Amino acid sequence: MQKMIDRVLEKEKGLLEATLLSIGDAVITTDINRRITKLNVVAEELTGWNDKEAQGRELDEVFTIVNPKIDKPVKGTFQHVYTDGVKSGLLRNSQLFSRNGTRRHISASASPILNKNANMMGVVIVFRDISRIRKAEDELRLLSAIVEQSANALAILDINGKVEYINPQFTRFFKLTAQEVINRRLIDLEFIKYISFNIKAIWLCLKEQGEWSNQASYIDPDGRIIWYSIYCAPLRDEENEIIKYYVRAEDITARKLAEEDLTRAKESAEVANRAKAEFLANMSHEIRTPLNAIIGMSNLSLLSNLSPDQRENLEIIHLAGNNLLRIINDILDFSKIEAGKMCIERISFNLDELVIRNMSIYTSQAQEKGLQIGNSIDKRLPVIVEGDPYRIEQVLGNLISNAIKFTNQGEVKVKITLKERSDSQMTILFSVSDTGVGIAREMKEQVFESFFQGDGSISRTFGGTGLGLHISKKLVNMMGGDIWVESTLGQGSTFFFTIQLGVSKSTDSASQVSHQPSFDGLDTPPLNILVVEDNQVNQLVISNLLRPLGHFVQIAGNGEEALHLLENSHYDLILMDILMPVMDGLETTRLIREKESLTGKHIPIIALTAYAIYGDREKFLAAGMDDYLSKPIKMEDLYNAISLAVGNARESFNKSSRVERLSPKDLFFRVDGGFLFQLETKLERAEAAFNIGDIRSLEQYAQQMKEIAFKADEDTIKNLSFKIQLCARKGDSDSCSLLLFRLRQEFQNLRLLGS
Amino acid sequence: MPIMKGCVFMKVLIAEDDLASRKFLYKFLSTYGECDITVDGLEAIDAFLLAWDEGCPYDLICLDIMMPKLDGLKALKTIRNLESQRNLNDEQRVKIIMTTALNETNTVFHCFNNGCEGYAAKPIDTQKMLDVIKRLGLLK
Repeated sequence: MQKMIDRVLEKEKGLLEATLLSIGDAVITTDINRRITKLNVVAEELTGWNDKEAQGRELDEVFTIVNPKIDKPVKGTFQHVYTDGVKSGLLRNSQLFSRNGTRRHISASASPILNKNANMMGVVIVFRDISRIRKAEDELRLLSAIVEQSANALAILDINGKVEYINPQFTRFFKLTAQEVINRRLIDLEFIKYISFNIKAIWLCLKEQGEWSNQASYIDPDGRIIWYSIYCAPLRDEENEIIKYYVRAEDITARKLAEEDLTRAKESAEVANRAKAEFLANMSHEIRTPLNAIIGMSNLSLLSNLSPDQRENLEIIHLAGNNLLRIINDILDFSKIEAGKMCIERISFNLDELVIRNMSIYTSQAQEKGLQIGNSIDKRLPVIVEGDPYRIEQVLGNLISNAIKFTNQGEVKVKITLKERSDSQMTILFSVSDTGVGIAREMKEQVFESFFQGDGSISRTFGGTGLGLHISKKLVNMMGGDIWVESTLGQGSTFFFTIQLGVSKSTDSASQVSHQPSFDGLDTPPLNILVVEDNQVNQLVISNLLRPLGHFVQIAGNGEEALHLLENSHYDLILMDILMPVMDGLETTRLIREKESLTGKHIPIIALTAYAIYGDREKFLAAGMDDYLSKPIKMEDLYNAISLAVGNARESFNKSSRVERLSPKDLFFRVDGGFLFQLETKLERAEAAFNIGDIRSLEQYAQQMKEIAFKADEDTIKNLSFKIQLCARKGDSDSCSLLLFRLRQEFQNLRLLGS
Repeated sequence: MPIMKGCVFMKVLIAEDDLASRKFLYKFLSTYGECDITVDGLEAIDAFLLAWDEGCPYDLICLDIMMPKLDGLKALKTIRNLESQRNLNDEQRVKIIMTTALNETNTVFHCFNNGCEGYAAKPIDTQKMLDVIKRLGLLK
């Protein structure tokens, strides 16, 4: 019986031992006095102690724990397990110091071994190497710290959009604690409403493209606008399945504000720049006008008799004025170009002539310096082209004058070649080459830069504004071309430029289609017309106007002839010239009307007059004319006058096609009283001014009278006043006196008529 | 012939709003003929018509392009219109020279298209102007 029991116990003990040995963790057992009783295999490996060797030794000797903080072996590890009979673990970061000196992070726990009666029999310590885990933990801690301490707000969402994690910055940005957001869908949170993005659209984008990033603005609870750069992306596991979503928000408000400031600054700089250039461009007229006076007056003075001293002085003024003009032209062109107000014309011009003209301008200059100057033009170039001849001259002239300026011996050659040609366009290459001082390689680009950026010493040495080439470059670019230079220092330079010119379409012939009278049909039947005109040419002219229409024209060379003809024949209409020898038109007309008063007839009479002298209108009417035409006779006027005269006798005072300014007022002798009063006042003042020699006031009063007369439609007064004004301006007192007298007379006439 | 030139001297009309320019032109051209001064486009046209009506039209008009009330270009057009209404041919038309301080090629072209005989950029080159006047046959 005992043997069987012993065998079972043996078996159990063996099993237990085997189990103990097979445990994957390290196991150390001790008695209640901290003496090692057993080490399993793993414990042997980790401590470096053999079970047999370890037997009976103090725990600390075999299981040496080092506290890395003090870096000394701990004495009395797990003492309170022995003393108090409680379970215990090790301090974090504790390391096992093995016999051969290896240190390992371990995780250990010690428990009292209690028997059935709860008496402690010993202590069992279980531990394992956690180096790998520690490493992973350290990495995790590091990453965690990064996320936690990030300056960006971070959030992790699950695949349904519920918030799983937010970092402290998220809380700081959006004033939401983890509690308030965890496990709620982002889309359901209140603060999302204040962000300028569309969550649904983002989800869609994430599903399609996998990630989303953009800027969005957020209105915080204080009402401030904050800009964020937001990035969303899925987090995937090892099988590439999406397990989470990651959202990052970076505060870019400062950057955004800086961007806006920069944009605004750039815009205001551009505006200021343009304003400046526009100002200069507009000043063109203002600047030239006084310069005008300087150059013009010095010119004028130079034409008169001067002492040598005076001549010299004036020549200096004249030269300075011209130089100033050149400089101002350059500056104004420059600023016009910068302001974007320079236009390139497109007109037909003769290219050959342009070149020849420019060559001749500079020939004398070149010859003065003893230089040869010549040109060659590609024979394939058409003579007439389309472009802007003034700007081409400007560029060509600039290059030629530069060439002459910088060359002291040798020659200047101008060459024009056709580079390309299509139906409507062609590219022309101009070259101006000289045997002058040349340009250094570094300077070749700089020479086309504007005065303000280039080398100031050039302008001081050689004169000029230094703007010429810059302007030329801009102009050439605007004409669709390029400008460049090839040069060897000390030997000479060749400036090249290309431009686009248009092929000229064939021009219409210069002769204009002569104006044919356009009247549809003849509204007057053929008439018997008596033309009383002494001048043979005029006779022909009028006949040729009337006969083609089917009228019968009878010519009388003077009034007597006319009267004679009238006795014997009937005429439907008389065209009466006023100025005739023997008997003038007025006299003739009066006689005709006298005779008619007996017969009761009335033949329409139209006066033909070269010029209406003042008072003629009244005279014509008084004499019995129906109408009048001023010479040279316009066809339409003649036909209109005829049809009206024949149509109805007295109401034919015509409208717009007439040049003569006849007013109904003249006809009916009604004169406006108010006008008379106003005029009288001014007239008296004018006369008074003249009498005291105040010509300037006289001019003013004359102008006022002119305006009054114009409003009242009194042409005679108006014209007289205007003449007084003109003469007063010239200082012609004699004429003023005469005219004032006539004006006074005219005024009195009107007053009589009015009463 | 329709036009009677009862006047002996060349008659010149100056239309110029700037005082200095006016004085200059007046002094310069007075050497060669009788000059009238106007200060804007409207006055110029009035003067032109007045002279015409009196039978002593101007031989030469110097029209400034920039003038108040009515600019030179419009005045030019108006004068040419008036002349063509009276059926004047090119020989008989008054000779018109435009003056301007501006360097507008655009304007120059419009002027020539509207029938001026010449164009002088200010400051006026008196020698050139004299040459043009001679070539236009205005000096006997």
